This record gives sequence, structure tokens and C-alpha cells, in this order.
Amino acid sequence: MKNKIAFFVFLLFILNSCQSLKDGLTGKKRDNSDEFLVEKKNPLEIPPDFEELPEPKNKEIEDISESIDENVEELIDSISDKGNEITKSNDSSAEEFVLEQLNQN
Amino acid sequence: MLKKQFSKKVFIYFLIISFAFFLDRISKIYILNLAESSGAVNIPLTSFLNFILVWNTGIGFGLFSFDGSTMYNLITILIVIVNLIIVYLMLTSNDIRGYLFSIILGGSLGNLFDRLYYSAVPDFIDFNYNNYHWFVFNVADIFISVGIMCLIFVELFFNKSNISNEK
Repeated sequence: MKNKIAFFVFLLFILNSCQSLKDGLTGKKRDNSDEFLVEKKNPLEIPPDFEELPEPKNKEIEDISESIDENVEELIDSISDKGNEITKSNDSSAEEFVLEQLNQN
Repeated sequence: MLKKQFSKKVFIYFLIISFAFFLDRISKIYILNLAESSGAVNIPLTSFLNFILVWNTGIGFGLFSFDGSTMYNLITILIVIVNLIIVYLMLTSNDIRGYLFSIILGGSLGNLFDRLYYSAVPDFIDFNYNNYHWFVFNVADIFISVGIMCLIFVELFFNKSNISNEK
């Protein structure tokens, strides 16, 4: 009889699906602690077959790109020189104006 | 004659199982529809009874509620085996215990259906008194619990009668 009653109690646990309200709303604490485990990555290394990689053969492309870079730099320099001249001229005229006003007073 | 009696018994078992299963299903569908329309279910009906939807992935009384699918699948397989044992016990019983096993089986199939379909069982009946909440359960749990309680009482009663007959 004891075995039968134990079996019925086992049925009560295994077939029921009730749960406490707190666990149902908040979610029960899990045994799994891996959720915050950060996977450590290996440091960067040169690939083993890096030196076997083919080198670029077309040198014309490199020359063209270098010449374009030089042209752009020259252009930027010329623009900045012009800007300096303009600001210098403006500064001088302003100074002269202020000095004239002071002298008049 | 015996065969006719057996088929009649099986038919009654089938009706009881269907009644328990579909009553449970209707209640769960109603609650899940409420949850779909309003986002969540938290309906205070009386001072001691609420409808609040929570999902259980474990077994009774919130045990074995793990995230892992392996544990969940193992529990589900165990429940299927237990259901088959109940079917065997139901069909071999010749007294009231057969009907009680059919009540338990109806509720158990209701919960098993949810385990397979939703991968969790919705619970929504929340009894509370003085801020103390009993476990949240569903209609299937009522059938299972009542059936098992009655089985335990019948077992105790029948054993007493057996003892008195032996004396």
C-alpha cells in the first residue's frame, strides 16, 4: 500500500504543472552561470602564410596614385597661401584704420 | 458479454478524458486570447482569487524549471511514459479507480499538449490569503490533484476493508 501511495504522490509531482507566483513572474534563478562568461580571444598574429601572398605587380597604378596625392597637396598649399594673404591684407587695413582713428583723437 | 462491458467502460473513460481535456483547453485558450489582446493577464476576481498568466517549463510546484532543452525533453519523455502507465492501470482497473485514473489522464494530457505545443504550460489560477499566494495552477492541475487525492483515499479505504476481511 505504501508503494502505491508513494507512486500516487510521484504522479502528483510529475503530472502537475503548478508553480509559485514569484518564480513565475520573476523567473527562477538558473544554475547556469555561463551567461556572464566572456570568451577570451587570442591576440592578433601574422598569418603563417603571409609571406607567401603575391605582391602587386602593376606599378603604374601606384605611380598614378602618388602623383594624384602630390597634386592634391600642392592645391591645398596654394589655397592656404592665398587665404593667408587675404587675412594679412585685411589685418593690415584694420590696423591702419584703428591707428588713424587714434591719431585723429 | 465481457467484451461489451469492456468497450462500454472504455467509452466512459474516453468521455471523462475528453471532458477534462477540453475543459482545460477551453480555459487556457480563453486566457491566452486575453493575454494576446491586452498584452498580459492580471485580473483580480475576488479578494482571494486572481487570474494571472505565468508559464511553467518544469514539473509540479515549480520544480525542475531549467532553461536547458535537454532537461525539458527528458521530463517530457518521462511524462509520456507515466501517461502510458496510467492508461495501462486505467484499463486493468475494474472499480472506481479506473474512473479516477481517467480523470488524472485527462488533465495530464491537457498539460502534455501544452508542453509539446507551447514548450511550457500556462498557469493562471492564483489563490491568495493575507498576501500569501498558493501555487499558481490551471484546470488540468485541478483534475490531476483531485484524481490523485481520491485515489489515495480509495487506496486507504480498500486496504482497510481488506485488513478487516483478513481478520
